[in-house]
Amino acid sequence: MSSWWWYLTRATGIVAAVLSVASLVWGLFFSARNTGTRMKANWWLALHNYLGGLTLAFIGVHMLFALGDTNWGLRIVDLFIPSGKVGWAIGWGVVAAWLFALVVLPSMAKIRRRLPRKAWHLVHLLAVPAVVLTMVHAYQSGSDSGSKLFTRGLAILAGIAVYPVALRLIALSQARRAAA
Amino acid sequence: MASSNPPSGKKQPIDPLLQQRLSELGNRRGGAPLPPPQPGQQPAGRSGQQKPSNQARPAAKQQPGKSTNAGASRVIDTTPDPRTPRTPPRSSQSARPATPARPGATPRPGTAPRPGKRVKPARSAKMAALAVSVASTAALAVYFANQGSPSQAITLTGGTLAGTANNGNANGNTNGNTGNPTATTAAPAAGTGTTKTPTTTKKPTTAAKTVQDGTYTGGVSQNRWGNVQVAAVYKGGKMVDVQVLQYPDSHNRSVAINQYALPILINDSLGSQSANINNISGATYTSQSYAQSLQSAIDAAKSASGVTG
Repeated sequence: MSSWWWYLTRATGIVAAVLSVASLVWGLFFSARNTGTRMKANWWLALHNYLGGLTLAFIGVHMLFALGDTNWGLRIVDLFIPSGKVGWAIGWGVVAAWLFALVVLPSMAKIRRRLPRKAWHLVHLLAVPAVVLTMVHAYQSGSDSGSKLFTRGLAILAGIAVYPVALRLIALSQARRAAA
Repeated sequence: MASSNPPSGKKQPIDPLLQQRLSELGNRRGGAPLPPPQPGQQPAGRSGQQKPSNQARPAAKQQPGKSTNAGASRVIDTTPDPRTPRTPPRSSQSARPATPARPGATPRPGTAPRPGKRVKPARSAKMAALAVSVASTAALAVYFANQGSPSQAITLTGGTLAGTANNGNANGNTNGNTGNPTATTAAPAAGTGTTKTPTTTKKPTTAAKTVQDGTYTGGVSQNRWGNVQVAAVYKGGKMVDVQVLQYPDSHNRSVAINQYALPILINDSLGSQSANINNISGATYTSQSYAQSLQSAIDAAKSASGVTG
């Protein structure tokens, strides 16, 4: 039975990582107005919001399963406070979870209305380091990190995440040059 | 058709309110809209929207000496006024088409909810994303479970005396190449290792610059998952093999981790001829315990061979 906790921890962790990259890519394409003409902008935005919430949900489930896996010996405090006692591989995961919570929760309609737009945007940009820390956590603490399939999949995910970030930065620099 | 031109022949601008009433009259009768005003005339106050017929209208001002054109027949131009936006006439019986409400939009207080379904954008895509996520989780969990208990790729050598130690033949043997010192154990480098007391130690008769051939067992290093103990095999003054005597195998996970981690650790240590190796990601405890046990084995080999440094 204890093995199933381990299996589910790994499975939910992998799915959460994929969802985080998908949400990041969706949001970056939407913000760059690179959404094409087939779907409306509100479709992209709604799906981006949903993927972000789904990512946070799967992160929570992943943490619960890790807590239930007694082999790890994790305590509840270890899920909220990153420390070197359980290894910084898990600590990076905790930091990434906090960053995702900071990104998703203030984007809810009721909270967002009360935040200045610039402040909300700065907080929302934390999604990029959150995805980076997710990759680090998956590589360092993942039991599958010895698997070639896993490492190659992680590399592909990283590439998929880097592409829209690069596009966005290039577009921003071009806009600034044009404005100057 | 009554002419609106004054006797002087000059055209005077039409009262915009009058023109609006005439246009409404024309629309009600199903007629075409009025022609666009001539240059110099005031534009018509027509906005294209038809007001309900029961609404009271202010009476148009009558200019002295002129008669209004109300009721008079006029030639109505069918060309639409390009300057005013046209909206289709709306009868009182037709219901306004339901427009999709914005997601998250709440109806204004005091207004009745509009008929029709509230359209949620990307609803099918959201459901698909959720279904794919849950299905992927289940599939991955089943895949990991079906991987089962991996076979122990790392064969354990028996006991703490590994290799071909022969105490009888070692007497008087001063040749470093053939000497087989008995297994000795040394204290681990630091931390969690436990120390076993050395059983026998043979001092070389000549000062050897290289480690003598043989198998040297390191101390047991304990971590939270179990014990790790290795033995270093030397031949020709070089470490040619590392034998794993103990490793955590109480759970399938430990076996799986060590199955891929220990061969990598062995290769790294043989390449570096030392215990200074990088930790394997996902096998941090195994890596650290392996390094400790191997270091103790190397120390034992050097001390047994009289190698300093």
